[in-house]
Amino acid sequence: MSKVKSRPSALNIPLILLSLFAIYPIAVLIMNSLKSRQDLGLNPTGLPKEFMWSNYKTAFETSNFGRHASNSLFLVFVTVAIVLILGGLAAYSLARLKPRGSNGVMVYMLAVSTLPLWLYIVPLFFLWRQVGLLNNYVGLVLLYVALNSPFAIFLLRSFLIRIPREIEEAAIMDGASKMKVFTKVLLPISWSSFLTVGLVVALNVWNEFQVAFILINDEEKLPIATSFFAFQQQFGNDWTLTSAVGVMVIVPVLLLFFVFQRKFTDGLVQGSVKG
Amino acid sequence: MYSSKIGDKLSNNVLKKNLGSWLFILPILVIHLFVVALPAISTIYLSMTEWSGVGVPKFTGLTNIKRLLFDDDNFISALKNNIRWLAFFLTIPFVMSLSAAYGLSQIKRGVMFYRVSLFLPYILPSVIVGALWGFLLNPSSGLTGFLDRIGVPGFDKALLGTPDTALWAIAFIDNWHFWGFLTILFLVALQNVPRELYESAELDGANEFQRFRYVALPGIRPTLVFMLMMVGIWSFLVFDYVWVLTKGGPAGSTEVLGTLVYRTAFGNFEAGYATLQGLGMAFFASASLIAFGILRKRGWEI
Amino acid sequence: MLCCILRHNNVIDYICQRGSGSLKGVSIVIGKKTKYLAGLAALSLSLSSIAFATQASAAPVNITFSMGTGVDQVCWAKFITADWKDSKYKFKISNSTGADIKDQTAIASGGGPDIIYSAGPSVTLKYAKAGQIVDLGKYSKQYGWDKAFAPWSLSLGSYKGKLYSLQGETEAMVMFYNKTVMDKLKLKQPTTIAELQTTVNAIKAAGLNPFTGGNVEWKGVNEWFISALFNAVAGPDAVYAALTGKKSWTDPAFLEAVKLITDWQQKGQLSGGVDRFYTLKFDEFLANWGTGKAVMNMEGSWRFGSASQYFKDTGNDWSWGSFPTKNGKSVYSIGVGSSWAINKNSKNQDGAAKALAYMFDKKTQGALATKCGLAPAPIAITAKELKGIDPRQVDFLVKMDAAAKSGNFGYLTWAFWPPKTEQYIINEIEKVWNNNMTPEEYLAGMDKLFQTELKAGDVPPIPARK
Repeated sequence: MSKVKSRPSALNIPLILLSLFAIYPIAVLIMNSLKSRQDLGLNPTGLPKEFMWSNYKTAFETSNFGRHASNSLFLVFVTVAIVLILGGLAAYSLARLKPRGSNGVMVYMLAVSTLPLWLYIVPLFFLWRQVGLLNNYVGLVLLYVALNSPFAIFLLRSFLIRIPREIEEAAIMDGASKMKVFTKVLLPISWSSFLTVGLVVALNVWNEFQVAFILINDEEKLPIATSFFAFQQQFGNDWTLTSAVGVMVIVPVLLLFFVFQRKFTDGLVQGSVKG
Repeated sequence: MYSSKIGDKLSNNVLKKNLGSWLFILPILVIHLFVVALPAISTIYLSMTEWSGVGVPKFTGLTNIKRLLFDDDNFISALKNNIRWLAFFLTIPFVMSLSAAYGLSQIKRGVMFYRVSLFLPYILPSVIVGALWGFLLNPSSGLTGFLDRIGVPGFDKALLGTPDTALWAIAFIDNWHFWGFLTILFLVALQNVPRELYESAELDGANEFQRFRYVALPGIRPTLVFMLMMVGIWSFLVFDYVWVLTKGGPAGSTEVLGTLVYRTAFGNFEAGYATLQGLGMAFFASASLIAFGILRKRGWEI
Repeated sequence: MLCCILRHNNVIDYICQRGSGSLKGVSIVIGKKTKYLAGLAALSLSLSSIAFATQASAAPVNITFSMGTGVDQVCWAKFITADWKDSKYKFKISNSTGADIKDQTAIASGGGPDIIYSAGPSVTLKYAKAGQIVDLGKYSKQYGWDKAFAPWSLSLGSYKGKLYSLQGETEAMVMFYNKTVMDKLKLKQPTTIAELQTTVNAIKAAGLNPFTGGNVEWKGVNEWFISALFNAVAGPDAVYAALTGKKSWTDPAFLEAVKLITDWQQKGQLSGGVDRFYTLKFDEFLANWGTGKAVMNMEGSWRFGSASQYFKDTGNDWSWGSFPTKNGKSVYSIGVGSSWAINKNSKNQDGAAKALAYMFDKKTQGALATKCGLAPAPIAITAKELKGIDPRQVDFLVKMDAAAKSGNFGYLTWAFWPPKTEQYIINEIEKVWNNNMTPEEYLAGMDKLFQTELKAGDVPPIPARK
């Protein structure tokens, strides 16, 4: 950190540079999605000569985007709901209630996050064949929940721990049950943390391609990132088309992010005032 | 008589309390055990077999372990790459994100814009990031090709095609994707540091850097420590970016443990041995865990 | 029925494990919403009954298998699905990436597709050893495969004397040229290695890339060169001897081959540099060949079907010749592009066999060659079925057929080598190109690995030389 005076304007320079660093490749992706193939060949990183909006129509149809996007939407909703509810309950217990032996749970969760997916995916496949969880969303969601829960639980716990105890003590003294303390006291304060974690899990599920790739056979059922991967194998030589599909894949997440950003900010401000 | 009644009541309550608290944890735990622990346990057996991936595994006892410990150069060189990756990711993204998060926490205007723009790379799926940067780093048709043509030095060789630079190029790309996430996370954590602490430090004569070091950093220590630990673990599990961009080449210069396991299992048809390599991965990943466990015992609250 | 209900302060009810051991109906009910549980149970019940009903009424029966997502494979899948008219069966083909891995896992767990499509005989050999594929003996008699297929391909598909797989897409390594540039530089197509070297130098002197190539999309590109050069420099007899364990891979002739490709790579004769080679995709390096930036292309006969599209609008044209050899005698090193077997887990084995018979019929193979640019399988096929394909390809097919019949052909690594050695060839050669390993060490490692696989019986049956 350089010796920056506390005048806000000086901090803006490195921040702007970093923002450009972050945005420029995405801008290139968008610009390339609107070029014709010749244009791309001559001018790979600049603005398009002509805006080929038709690329999007072609991309949408060829990649069967609507189908795959709705698949992913469903998977995201269900996984996030389950992780936030069940994970939130667990995080609360681990942060505040701390029943005997719960340290073991934390150690277990940490230990399993050291396991690489490829290690147990083959036996998992065997097991799920027996219980009929292959090639369907129940199996996929269960795996997504399992993969995302350790991180979510730990993150939620680290947020919950920082909340001062005085806030709950009032409620506890009033005789509130553990559940009520969680839902009526902690949740309203920490909901922005839940939102953050929810967004992270949603992202992970939307962007996930490996697990679905192994467990799902029917092309129709593929979620969006896996279908992009397959699309790229087939059409990767047409970078304009591939870019268009890429942009379509990220737009829903962008929208989600923008929509929740405002609430997110408000929640944070409130949280810091209360804290 | 009085005390024993209280005693009964107390122990009853303690038991009830524990049970109740456990119920909060159980549902997610059960799911996880079924989905991960159960299959993972069978890998212990599989790692001691010779199995091509089809047919029946043949139990071979300690043969695989002997090979891993004494005769597997590929494992060692892949491990070295993971360690390089670890060194990169424990430093660069953290320096960048802590600086940016702190900077953002100190300014009032334009925060929204920065938060959105810095976080944007993280929302892209790895397949798209890989495809995009593969294009940008293309020595003829991409950004690096363009820079080379206009005479900027250093871009004449394909970054992803040269063993010396390939791994760092991939790390750079993954960092581009990842550091914004850390920034927002630290920003959220920093928001919980009360402004009064900064103000009183300033009154005490602390400059910007000192305020960062003595107010901000300790204020977010649980989150910071947690993320360092997670990055420590994840560095040994890297797979996506390496696979999408170079598949472990060129000349094995970007081969990491994850891609090695994949190749051993599905390219070499040595699924049994690959399972042991996978356990090896888990072993190193858990080293990070253990390190932090030790720190925790010394009183650091995560 | 195991049913455990824990109540605690009407906070959470757990209901677990209903039914015969499978986890249907695991649900969490918060508060008193037991209706939720009932709804879930009803939903799963109705879904499974719908699935059951649709299965029972299905006809015709699907014959399933998976292929990759390459353009020619997609074309192939589409064609045979539409073209096969059978009363009982139809194709259900899934084109996906990593299909072979998914299939392998599925097969290992008791399922998998009806037909197993794989990249080569060493893969199907693995399945045969594990007892996972069907003995094709009776089908071979029924459909006449033992007469239709070339003997060397039948040999490749056999294990312990029984036929287990059919080979598709005959391939041979050849040399392709950008004819226009060759003519402009007044260069003749070389027939010996020495002439080839002179040609390389001449092209280099003209400021162009002697060879094109790139392996970022497919690492297997590496073994094309080793395959071609082993046979071209050491000769097919030597390769045969090594493959049957009578010669070591450390023999000087093989060393010369490895040194040659290493020399070319290190001098940047392929695509202008090893670093470029590692980053170029198929379309990119083929486009370079089409525009004349690179002049020669060491590839296999699979390229005949698609070469012309890279020369469209470039004002250039392409030609081919057999791969130059040390002594100048023309040799075709052959292999196959795919291997087909029937999964033992399949419930439609007869149907699968019928499907294979359809697919390897001359008419189908001819149609696939003309419509999808696919190389025909090693069956007896005439110009009649191949009407419409490029005359250069016909020329090649005639010459290759003659070579195969005469028993004088070379051996490609992806058809005749055992799997681990093949992977070694592909992966370790990069270390040699980058000076992390000497060619001697490379061959020593290859030989050691090969001998272990030979002993374990993992080497496909090598057809005898006449």
